[in-house]
Amino acid sequence: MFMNKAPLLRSCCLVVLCALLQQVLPAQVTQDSIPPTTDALISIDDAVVNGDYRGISLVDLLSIWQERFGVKFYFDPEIVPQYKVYIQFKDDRFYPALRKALDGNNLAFSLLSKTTIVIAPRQSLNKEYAIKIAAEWEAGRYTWPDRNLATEMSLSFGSTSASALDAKAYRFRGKLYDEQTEEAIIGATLLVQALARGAATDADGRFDLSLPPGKHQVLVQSVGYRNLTINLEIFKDGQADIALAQFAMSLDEVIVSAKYADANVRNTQIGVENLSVKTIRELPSLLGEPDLIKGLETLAGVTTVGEGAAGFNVRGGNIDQNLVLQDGAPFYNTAHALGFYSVFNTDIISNVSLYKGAIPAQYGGRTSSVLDVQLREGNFQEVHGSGGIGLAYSRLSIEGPLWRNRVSGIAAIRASYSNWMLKVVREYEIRNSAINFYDFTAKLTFKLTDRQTLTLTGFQSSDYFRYSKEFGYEWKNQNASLGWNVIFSDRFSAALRAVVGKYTSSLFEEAATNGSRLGNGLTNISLKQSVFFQANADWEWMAGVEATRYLPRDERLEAYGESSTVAPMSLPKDRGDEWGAFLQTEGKISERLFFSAGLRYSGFIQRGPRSVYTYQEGVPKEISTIIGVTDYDKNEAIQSYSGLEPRFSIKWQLSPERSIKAGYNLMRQYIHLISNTAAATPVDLWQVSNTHIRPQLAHVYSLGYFHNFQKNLWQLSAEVYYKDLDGIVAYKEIPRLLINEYLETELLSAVGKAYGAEFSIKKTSGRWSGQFSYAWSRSLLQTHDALPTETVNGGAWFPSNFDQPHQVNLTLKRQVNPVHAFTVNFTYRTGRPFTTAEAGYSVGGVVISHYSLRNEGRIPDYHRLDISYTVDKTAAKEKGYRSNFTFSIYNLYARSNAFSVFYKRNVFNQQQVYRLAVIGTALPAISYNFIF
Amino acid sequence: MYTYKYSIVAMLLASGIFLQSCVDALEFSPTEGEKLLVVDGKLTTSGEDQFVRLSQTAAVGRSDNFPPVIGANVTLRDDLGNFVNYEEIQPGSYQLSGSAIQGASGRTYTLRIEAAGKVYESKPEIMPQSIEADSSFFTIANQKFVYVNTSVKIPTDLVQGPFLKWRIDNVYQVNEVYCGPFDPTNTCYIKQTFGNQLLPILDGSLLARGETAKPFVAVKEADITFGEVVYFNLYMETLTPDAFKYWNKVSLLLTQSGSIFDAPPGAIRGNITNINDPNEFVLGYFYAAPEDTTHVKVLASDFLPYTINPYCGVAGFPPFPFPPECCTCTLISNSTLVKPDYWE
Repeated sequence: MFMNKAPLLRSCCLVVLCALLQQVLPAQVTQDSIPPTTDALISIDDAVVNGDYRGISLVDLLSIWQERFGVKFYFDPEIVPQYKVYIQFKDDRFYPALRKALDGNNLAFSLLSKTTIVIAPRQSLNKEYAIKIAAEWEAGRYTWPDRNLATEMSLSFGSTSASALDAKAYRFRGKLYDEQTEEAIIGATLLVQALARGAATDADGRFDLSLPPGKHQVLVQSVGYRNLTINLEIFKDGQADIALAQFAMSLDEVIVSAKYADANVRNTQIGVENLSVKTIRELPSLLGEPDLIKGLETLAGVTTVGEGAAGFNVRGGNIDQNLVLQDGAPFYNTAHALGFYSVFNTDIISNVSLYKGAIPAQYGGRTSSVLDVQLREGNFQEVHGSGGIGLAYSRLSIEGPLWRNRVSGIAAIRASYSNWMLKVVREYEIRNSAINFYDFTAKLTFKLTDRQTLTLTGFQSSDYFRYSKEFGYEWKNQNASLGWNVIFSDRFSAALRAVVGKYTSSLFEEAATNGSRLGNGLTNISLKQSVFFQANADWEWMAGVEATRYLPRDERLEAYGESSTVAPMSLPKDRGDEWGAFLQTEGKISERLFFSAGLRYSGFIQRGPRSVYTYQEGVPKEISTIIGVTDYDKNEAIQSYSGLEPRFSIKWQLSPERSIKAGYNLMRQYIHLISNTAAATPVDLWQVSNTHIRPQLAHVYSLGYFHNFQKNLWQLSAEVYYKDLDGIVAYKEIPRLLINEYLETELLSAVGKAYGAEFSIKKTSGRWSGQFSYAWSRSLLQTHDALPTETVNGGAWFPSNFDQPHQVNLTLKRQVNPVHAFTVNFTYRTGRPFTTAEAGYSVGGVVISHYSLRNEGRIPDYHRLDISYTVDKTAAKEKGYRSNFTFSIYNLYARSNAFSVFYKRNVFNQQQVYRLAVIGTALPAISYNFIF
Repeated sequence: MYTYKYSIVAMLLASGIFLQSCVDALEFSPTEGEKLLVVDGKLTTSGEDQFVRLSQTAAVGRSDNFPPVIGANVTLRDDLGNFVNYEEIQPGSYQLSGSAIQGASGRTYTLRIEAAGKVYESKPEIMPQSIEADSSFFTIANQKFVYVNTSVKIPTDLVQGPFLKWRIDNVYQVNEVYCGPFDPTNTCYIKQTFGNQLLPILDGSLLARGETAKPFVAVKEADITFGEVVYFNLYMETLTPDAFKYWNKVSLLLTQSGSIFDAPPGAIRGNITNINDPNEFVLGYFYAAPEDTTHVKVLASDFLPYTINPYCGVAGFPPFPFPPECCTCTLISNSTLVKPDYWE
């Protein structure tokens, strides 16, 4: 009766969108029939090529043409089978068509005769090489590889009869699964090209295709699988479970998320980014370790306040405005090593979706974005593993069946050993410092029945950081999620997810009699039930309820060290319950107009035990202005908030390759990260809304234009957005936020606005591929309703800490040959705001600066160039131990990018402006990855 | 206790994990903003002269010569109705005249300033109960750094605090050498103030009642002034919560290092208000605090086996070039021939 809702919605959206797209495909494409029936079998010079070869392997294509045109292809079977083509032909001559097919893969051909063709990497191909390759084939040392040939099968439902032909349509339903692992294949497409009709499989691999009675050819395609042609005779509703066979994949491709090549144009929702793990891994990275969050920062509209900062900022939002989920379990701190890495292990990630514009109604509780990370299921048939060794940490993952075809498991661990880098530093304090982390992720998948799946995901991480013998941090993430998906019928399914999570952190100081340890944390327990209903091929519904209990850990201070005289104390924090009910639908209004609409009603109740202070009106909240206190018992309701959250997206499909989308979201946030440092610290408090802290509210408007060229080879997007924010937590000057029973006396409530435009162009394949993006954005706050003596900047709008108006990202990949690839990454963004000193003065024998206007200045702009070179031989064979190396240089031109600018007295006791650069040099690194 | 010490984190990450990072000075043009009134005043129980200093802000980085506010009319009143004027003894430096008002715990004091046609007043400041230091002591690290701590027993009946602030100076001794029969060999006592960026404070709220805290308050690198006797003088003030909050913010500004965990700097509003224009931003603070003084004596022999020669050399071996102040030690600034009463 239950089903994991997130992937469900996505894939179900795919079903509809695929069908819709097929209905709007232009005639010249859809009229192309499959190759065997249209390619003219005459002289090779006059041969004409037609057909749609999108997504098949090059070997498949060559095999078809070899048979069709009577030519003979010779090539190195270690190299050519790795390539795929994504191409369509319309009355193309044979040789130009072949050149077109090879060109995008950096291959070329040489004619030994009119019909004997040698194919090789462009840089290797010469006459001598061609003869050598041909000789290998003639000698039988080279043979035709395990081809990814399109396979065929026949299915028949019912028989021809007058009554059978009377029906308008019959439903062809079923499930696609992996021939080897028996895992469901998500996002596969079934296309009946003659009818321009299609469907895609959902999270359980299920499809539902409505077809008129008769004979049809259904082409089944999925990334990583051989194409399948089904010769279907349908004269009544029919159902079939169909297996697809894998073909050889590279290490990275194993974990590429399945999605349409033109998803950017097709998806109804605006501002949704899908980032493949392959892309993340190809990026040059700090010390050679790929990282999901750093990968996200290459997207337009996603930024960070600086190197080493935890979290990420989306479209001018704070890091606490991002809902970060891993298999449905939220993270409250995604940082490892204070923020240089994140908690996500790319080895076991299946799919990454970032919702930064339109956010479906099943997500709630944050006002800026949702990062939904799905983990892979373990292999149901065989044991496999993968891992990597880097300079900072190593990782290992193992997967396999625990009960063949019934239960699978996958487990991954990462552990750092970066202390060796500290030991080589001369400074005593640094040599005696320590920084460690580990994380462990495991997922079990139980196939209870054909229609019921149970998943259990667990995660634990631990970080330790100590500076010399002075102070340090410890923090831990633990969470577990249980998902139960049930399919009641082909139209109706449900999902239940229960999540328990715990985040704890502490700050310890070794200071003799003052030595102390300050700890806090947050426990969350949540339950979410959702149901999905597919009304018809064009319309789907999703509904559900969820509830979360927040149980913050008391702020605890205790003595640290034998000589400490610090008295233990405990400060209770606010707790509360958040709940929501949602309804989401997605469908088609006309052939060109699509929509996605949702309504969420959410609420929050602050609960006791708690003592709530009442302050005198009209004067600043201070301890001295407390006029009363009310005590509440355990679980007694103290304060409640609730409200509607409408969500709406609309898409106008201008053509198969162009669309315009618009969206509106209203979102509410009932939990806030109380942090006033430049970058969040591990001990920053998560504070639920209460009597004095209102929920955050965001109205988000967005509009975008999406255009793909040359059959999705080039993808262009342009988006604009505007956010209207309320209830933003702002801070009085230099507040005290920890161990403060009167926290509200340090806080202000602000309104905000964020707006911007994002432009992105991407080349998806070929010798050169990559992405260029530019974003212009502003993020402003205003404390207009504060008292005159407390307003920030006199009540005027001022830039938020993460207001970075210009952001440029450029990623270029040069596939030198199938094994060697070179990647360049360039990043530029405007320096973030900082508060400038406008005067100096002397008081109490010290000289300090006066800062009157918050965030008035900007630190110098940030820019950085990284390069990496990958030697990847994983595609050379399908099984066994395979590996790759990545060499990278981070910050190639050694720019000392300012993390911050600050004022301090110099050696001459004069006020001086200083710049701190966290990384001031080029950092070379090497990492080794393997799979078996 | 819990403090903002994370500035070092950035340096660790910089020089440790990533082997290279840097803090470097940037060129900048001093800006001349609006000049604001700065009030720096306190009333203590030290028995010493009590001052209020009035000045104006100056452009950042231009100089530390903050323009004094001269010709102001400064008065102090207490909750008993006593009223006393301050007398301007130097430009911008106003000294409490008379003895009509003496600082006393439990009494409330209000400062009033009339300057440039405007009238300013402090919030009424109560003088809290005095906390006394048990003693002060020193330790020597690496044979050259003198660390000074104070022992403070936290009273068992104290509900909140104590909130403590220290002012520190040290006095060293210079013995003149024989310079002729008509030139007596005097001993001078020279007072040194610590670097002006030192502001030791302590929030004792979180310390166990009845226990003795030993906060570190000062460090000084041993130099030639430690060749004979040095006294560290620690003046411990007990503050109100509001006054502590102010000085804590000043302290946080002083420790800014630009690290990833730095709190953004901001304006610090004190307790002085223009009574006709509450929106005028007045900097500084006036507070009343009982003061307790302790002394720490450090001898040259405390550094053994490391040897520090006296200022004017050991007997028969004067330093070269010979400093004239070894014949006339009063040439040294801030020197006096009057032996402090605590000197043993």
